This record gives sequence, structure tokens and C-alpha cells, in this order.
Amino acid sequence: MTWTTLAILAIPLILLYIWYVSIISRRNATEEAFAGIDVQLKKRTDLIPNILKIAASFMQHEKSLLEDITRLRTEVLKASGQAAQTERFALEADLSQKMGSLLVAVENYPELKSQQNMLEAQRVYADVEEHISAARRSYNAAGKRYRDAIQIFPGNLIAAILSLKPMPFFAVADTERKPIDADSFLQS
Amino acid sequence: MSNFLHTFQQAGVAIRQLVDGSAFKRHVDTNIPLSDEFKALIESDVKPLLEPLEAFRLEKLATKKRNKKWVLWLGWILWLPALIWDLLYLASGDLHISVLFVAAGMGIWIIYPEMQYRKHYKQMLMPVLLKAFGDFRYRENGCIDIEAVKALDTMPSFSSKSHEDHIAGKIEDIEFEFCELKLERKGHKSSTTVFRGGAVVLNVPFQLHGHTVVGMDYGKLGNMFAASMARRKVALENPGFEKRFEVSSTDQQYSRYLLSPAMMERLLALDDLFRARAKGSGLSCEFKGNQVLLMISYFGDLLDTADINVSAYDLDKLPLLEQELAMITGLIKQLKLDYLTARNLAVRNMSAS
Repeated sequence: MTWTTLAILAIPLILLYIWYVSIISRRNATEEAFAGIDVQLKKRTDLIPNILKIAASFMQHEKSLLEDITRLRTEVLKASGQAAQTERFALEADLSQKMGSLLVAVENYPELKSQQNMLEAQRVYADVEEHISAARRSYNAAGKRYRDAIQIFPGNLIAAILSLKPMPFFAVADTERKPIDADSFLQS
Repeated sequence: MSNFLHTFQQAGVAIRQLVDGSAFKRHVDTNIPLSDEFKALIESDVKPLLEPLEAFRLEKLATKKRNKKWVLWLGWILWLPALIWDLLYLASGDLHISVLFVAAGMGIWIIYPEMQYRKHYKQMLMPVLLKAFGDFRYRENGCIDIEAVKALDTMPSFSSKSHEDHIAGKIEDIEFEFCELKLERKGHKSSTTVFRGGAVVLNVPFQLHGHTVVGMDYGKLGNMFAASMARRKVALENPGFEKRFEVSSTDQQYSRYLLSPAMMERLLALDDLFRARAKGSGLSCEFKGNQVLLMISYFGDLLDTADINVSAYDLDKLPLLEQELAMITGLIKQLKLDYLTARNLAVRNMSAS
């Protein structure tokens, strides 16, 4: 066997190995980015009781909303972990929507709205939401790189051998896609 | 390498501006009236300054005219001997450019009174006009604290600098500094301008994580050469932003927190604003520690509305000055860095309590 034959055999193997390394490092990067969402989500779940505590004493008429948020928060905490990704994404979207409703409802309580600790809590919540959004975008970007690597030849062959599956993208919840009913909003 | 790419990119923009004609005109909306606040400020603070300013203008205009007259007289007398002098040197095989130096010196002598008037106009009016925008200080020859930002990647290495129009102040807990800056680097035979435009340094009252740089896009190959070893490219979702900028960071997630979709739109709008108003040729910014550095390249000259041939009482140019001052002092609000600061301070307060 000449050096040329050896080189012809070795080069594709080296290229395949490089591709394999690239796929694995991209998968790890995606998992790391996913863990980043966990960290931010934990911050939000830690913050929610503070907001509810401040709001509860003023918002007697929003009892069901406050209870919904408490329930969703517990469910999100239970659904943590990669296995329950899809369920968790949906729960998170629900929680985010309910918290949005709560912060809108605060506008109807001028006394609560002017509370310094409520203002600070709203700012912190907005900041945590920005971090969550950044973590999701980071995860989506990493997920796209990983998806490209396992769907483009010869990555698709490696992915088939190793049973690698693309990770789901974070998308806007169906409820958020619905057009806004301006009439009902203005009448309320 | 990135300095070379920057110079190359600036040359490209300059050629485009020459071709499309924007290099010769500034798109300024002169129909926008002065704001009520600015009008009141002119009545109370600016008008009393106009009388001595007009006297100074007339004196400098007279000096300029006298100098011009003298130069024309000398020109008439000396043009023939100078030509013979040059031809004699040329015949002997030497190229002598002393005549050119003398001519340039005479030119400067003519325009020097005008430069003095422009400087005086700014020194008199700018501190007063800035009052309309908040608690700002103005220094005609001042410069940003360049030592504090010298180590940042967006600040090109340079061997000489010239600066003017330093504005400093504090907006919503953010320390703000702006100046017009020209940085040059000496080569073997000549100097190269490595930056020309406005430099803004913001000191925010919280620590920014990682190190994020939003640089100009030099194309795939150019970006590869200009890439930093310490930072990784951040691919963002806004195609318009991606086309114009190249982002790299040591913290992928935090860079996306800073560059939210809204922030990307704001940076694009800021770039568009400077391109339209000051013959802008791109901007870059850097977030590190508690500093944000914005380097806005442009070929125009902002805050330079004084005209020695126009009476100081003529306030037609003030709307332009107001727009330019609003553009500079409004940078923090335009980028909504005040909201970012308020949120981060709230997080700090909540963690402390």
C-alpha cells in the first residue's frame, strides 16, 4: 500500500472526524444555551413571589389571575429539565402571558403603581424577561448551527448513525400569534 | 489589520458619497422650527451675547478682508518673480516647492480671522445653548478621556490626534462624553487617518458582563481577518443589522441581552441618522466593564454653523445647531441606555435588600 493510497483513505476519515467533532461541539453548545435559559427562568420564578406579595395586598379583584400565576409557576418548576422541553415551552409562554396581564392590570391600581417597591419589581421583571429573551435567542442560534450541521451532507449520515435529532426552536405561542381584538381591549 | 480594513471601507464610502452627490450636501431639515424651550433660551440667554459677538465678527471680517487685499497685492507683485524662480530651479533639475509653502501660508493668513470667529462663536454660544438639553459642559478644544478607552478594541491605535467640541454631562446616572476626533497614524512616508468623526464614552453605573464589540461589516473575508481570537462571532436575527455590522463577544447570551431586537433597530436608526446628517460612514461600539464606547465615523463637521459673512444677529442656522445638539446629547435616550441602566440598578437594589 503506497502513501498515496493511505492518504486517499485517511483524508475522508479525517474530514468525517472533523465533521463529527463539529456536530458534537454544536450539540454541546446548544445544550449549554438551553441551560442558560434555565438560569434565567430560575431568576424569574424566584422573582414572581416577590411581585405577587407586593401586588396581593392591593389587587383583591385579580385573585384568580394571581392564583393562575402561582399555579403556572409551580408547574414550570416541575417541568424543568430537557425531557419536558415542549411542555415547558408552552407553560413558560402561558406564565409570561399571565405575568404580562398582571403588569397591565397594575395600571388599574394607581396606589400600587406608585409604590416604589412595585416600580423596582417591574423593572427587575422587565430585565429578567430581557435576559430570558436573550437566552432563548442564544439557544435558537446555537440550535440552528446544530441543525445545519446534522442536516447537511455528510452530517446527516453521522446524525443517522448516532441517532441525533434536531432540538426544537423556541417559537411564539399560538395565543400570541392571534390578532389583537382592539374593540374588547378598548371596552374593558 | 482592522485599521487597514477601516481605511479601505471609509475610502469606499467616500467614493460612494462623491458619486451620489451626498458628499456635497447635508440632508438637514431646515423647515423644522425651533422648539419652544430653545426659543425661550435664545430670548433670555443668547440675544444678550449677540452684540459683542457681532462686534467681534465685524472686526475679524475687516481683518480677513485686509489680509486678502494684502495677499492679492503681493500676489500681483510676486507672481512673475516666483514663476521665474521656479522655472530656474526646474531647469537646474531640482523641484522646489517653497513657493507652494508661501502660498499656503498666505491662504492660512487670510482664513485665520474666520477660524478665530468660528472658535469664538462656539465658545460664546455653545455652553448657553447646551442648557436646553440638560446639565452639560462644553469645551471647544476638549477631548474625551482617551486614556480610559485606549485599551478598547474599537479605539484604533494612533500616533497623533486632534479634537474639538467636547461635551460632557450626566444623564440618568450615565456619565456622557462626546468630542469630534481625528486620529492619525504615522507611516514611513506619510500619515494615515485611522478615524474621523465623533467619539462617545458612556460610563454606566453597573458592570457589563463579558466583552461585546459591534463593528462595521467588512465582508466575509474582511471580517475573518479582522476577527478577534478572544471573542466569538454573534449571529443575530436582523438581516439589515447583520449586513451592516459584525458582532463578536465573549458572552453569547449577554451580547444578545444588550443587542435586543429593539436595540439593533435603534443602532441602525442611529447609523442612518449620522449618515444623513453628517455624511456618516458607519459606526462601531463596544461594551466592556462599565464603559460603552461609540465611534461614529463621518466626514461632515458637526456644530459648525458660524459664518463670518453672515450677521451674528441672523439666527437662521440655529435650528440646524439645535438638531445637531439634540442628536448628540440624545444618544443615550436614542439607544434607550437609560432604561437599561434603570433596570440594572433595580436588579442591584433588589439583590442588596
